[in-house]
Amino acid sequence: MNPTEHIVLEGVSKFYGEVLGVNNVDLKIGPGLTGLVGPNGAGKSTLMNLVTGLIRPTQGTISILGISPENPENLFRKVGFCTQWDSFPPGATGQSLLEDTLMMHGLARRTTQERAKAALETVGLAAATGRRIDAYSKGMKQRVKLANALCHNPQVLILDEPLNGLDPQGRSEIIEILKDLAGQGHYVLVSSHILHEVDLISDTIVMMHGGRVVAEGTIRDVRQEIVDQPVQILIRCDKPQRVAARAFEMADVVGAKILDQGDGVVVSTRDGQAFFSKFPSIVLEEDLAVETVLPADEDVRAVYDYLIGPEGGQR
Amino acid sequence: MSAGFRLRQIRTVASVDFRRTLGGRRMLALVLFCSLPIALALVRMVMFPEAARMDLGRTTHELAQAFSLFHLRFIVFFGCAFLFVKSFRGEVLQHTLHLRLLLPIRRRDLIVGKYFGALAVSLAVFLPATVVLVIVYRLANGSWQTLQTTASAQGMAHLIAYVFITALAAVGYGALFLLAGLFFKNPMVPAALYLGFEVLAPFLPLPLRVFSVGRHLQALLPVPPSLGPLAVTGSDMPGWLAVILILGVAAIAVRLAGWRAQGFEIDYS
Repeated sequence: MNPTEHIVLEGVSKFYGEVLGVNNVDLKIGPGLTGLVGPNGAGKSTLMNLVTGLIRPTQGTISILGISPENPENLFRKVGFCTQWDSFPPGATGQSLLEDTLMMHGLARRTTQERAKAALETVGLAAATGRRIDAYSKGMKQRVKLANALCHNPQVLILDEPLNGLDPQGRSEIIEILKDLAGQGHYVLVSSHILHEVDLISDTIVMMHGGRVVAEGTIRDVRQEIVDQPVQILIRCDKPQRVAARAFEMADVVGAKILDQGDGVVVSTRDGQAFFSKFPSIVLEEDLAVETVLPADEDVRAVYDYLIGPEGGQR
Repeated sequence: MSAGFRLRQIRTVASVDFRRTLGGRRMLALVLFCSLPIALALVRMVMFPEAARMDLGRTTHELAQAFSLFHLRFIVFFGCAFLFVKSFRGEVLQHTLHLRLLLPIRRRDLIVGKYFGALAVSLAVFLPATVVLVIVYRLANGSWQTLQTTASAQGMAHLIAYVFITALAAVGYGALFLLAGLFFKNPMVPAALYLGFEVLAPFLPLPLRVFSVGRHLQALLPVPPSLGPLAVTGSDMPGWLAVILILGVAAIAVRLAGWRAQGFEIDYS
């Protein structure tokens, strides 16, 4: 592993006195979009604050593309952080906030004006550049924070609950921006406790609970590692009862539930591979008209429920 | 990162802080606070008998008293406490410090920039206040004589000395209060503690006395004032040494503040 190509945390713990922030976290995050999920108090914000040096680990080491958070002068040339805090300097406008940020990157005044304007346009604040941020709505404040984090075109973008306070259209716009950045090879780490948003944003997740990382990887990989929970497979077809009957003939199948609409069945099996191998012969033998065959629990919600529990509690 | 670039960053932090502080809501309160000695001087001009006011020697002596005990010890001292503690701690209280800590600048450079930003504000406020205070005291002698006195070699020397001492006070007190801002939330706590230290300084061992900015400032006064309850006993050290000591104390305090900032963690709770 080349540490200059990853965000790396090794044995990182943070304690506030006797209160646990994060506990013995080992992580390696590569380029693309990574969702950091977990219930409130799981340690997501603490982890992000640690990565950006706003707080220091009690133990362990952190490196972002080979740079320690102890070196902000190098780190923040490559990193932009959209924090959870909605506070801004009194009297600042969107334009002045970003210009002040860009000035610190050594850009000339004229360039800072252009770059600030462009960043504000990117997040949909073109009409409010000269307005005081105090007068912005919650959603506009989220956008200006995002603009401030990405105005210097950082390689690594860290966003703490960036979709909070945005309306559905705003969420969709911001998600597109994040996907674009990830597609260009940027490292985008996004925290959220709204699970369906994470599903929309990223395929790779880091799941936290109680200050610990409980799962890490692509959603499919994480799901496959949860061997104590049967795989749920959704089959939409014209004869769901026949599929259920044939499924129960298989040793590893532990359940089958016909959908309320009667147009499909969810099969629970301890061996998904075996079911998928056998299924084509069932289709032929039963002369099924199959519309879809999908893993029903390869999403963040399901993985979250298995690992953490539906209410965010420990299993 | 080149020295030139770092200096440019420091200048940027200072200019941003200067702009934000001067445009801040509390600036008017500070200006009014600085006007108190001037207001008292105006009251004196109106209330005191003409004979007393026209006595140049007495006026000069009273100006020295007002400058040393009221303007320097009270206005500049607490004004610096407000401005410099607020420079760092104020951003913690406003929950905006993270915006600064997420910039590509060494934290000790950020502290130096914030110091110069607050220093620029304090000079912009306190120096004109000093000039106005001196002129208002001299106005008691009548406008023509005021002009003559102020323009005379001794008058100009006194005026320049008062301005210089005020600037040095801002340099010294400012650095100490900037450092205090990294430890205390309320500027009045370090201000009261430091005031107590300065009053006790003459009785303390020499190594501790070095850190009494007020004591060094007294050595620079053109007219020694009578000592009041809050006065700091002056030392008879040469002026150049007093200047060097104040600059040295300021440099040490800013350096310590930089070290403290290096390990500072954001905690808005």
